[in-house]
Amino acid sequence: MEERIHVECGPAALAVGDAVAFVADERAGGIAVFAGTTRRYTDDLETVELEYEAFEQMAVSEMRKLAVAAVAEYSLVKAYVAHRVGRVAFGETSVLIAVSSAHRDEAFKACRVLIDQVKTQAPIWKKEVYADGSEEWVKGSVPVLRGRES
Amino acid sequence: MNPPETAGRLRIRFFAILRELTGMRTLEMSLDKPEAVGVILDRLVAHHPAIGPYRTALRAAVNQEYVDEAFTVFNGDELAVITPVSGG
Repeated sequence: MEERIHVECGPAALAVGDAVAFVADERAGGIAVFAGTTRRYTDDLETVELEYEAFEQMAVSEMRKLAVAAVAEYSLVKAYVAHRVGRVAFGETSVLIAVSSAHRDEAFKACRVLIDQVKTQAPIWKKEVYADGSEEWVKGSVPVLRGRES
Repeated sequence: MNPPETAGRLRIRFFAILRELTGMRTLEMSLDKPEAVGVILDRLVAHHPAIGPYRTALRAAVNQEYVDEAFTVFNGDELAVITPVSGG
């Protein structure tokens, strides 16, 4: 069966071209892509290093669930969701979402929803190391429960 | 559903700040009886007070699925202790 969803979480560099190539399809009239890149400056504060840690297997499983739900909700043709782990150099892509759909509205909406959900649901953590030598795990979101309550 | 599991031990996994604070990636314990996730988290805080400040913001995942604190774990399960996530 044709693979409509690609999900990955690992140390390999992410390339926008790979994501677009995966979701490209003759049934699609539009492709939306979001690439989250590592930011060196937040206002005047300089980050010297950025590192991601993940519960990789579960992150893949959570991201796949989000992608499956988005494909159904927005009638997507294909979806690509990837997140890097380990040290990521400035300007490189740490998270990459691409979706294709028959019409652009669904693609824009699904891409936005997917990046927002990946940030709040996938068991992935970002650590920032600052120029003064201090470091900090970035404060994030408590993942919401989706149907496995006791 | 979580099938009762009699063999093995409960395997607990830490990541990011909790991995650093506890100095461990994994910890195994034998349960005398099935326990609620919340009970296990309280035990972990008692043994590792450094986790205390994070207690109210923890989310647990059992066998790679997020669960609430009343969810029951058995020997053989894997419990991941998840602090607020910050990917992206």
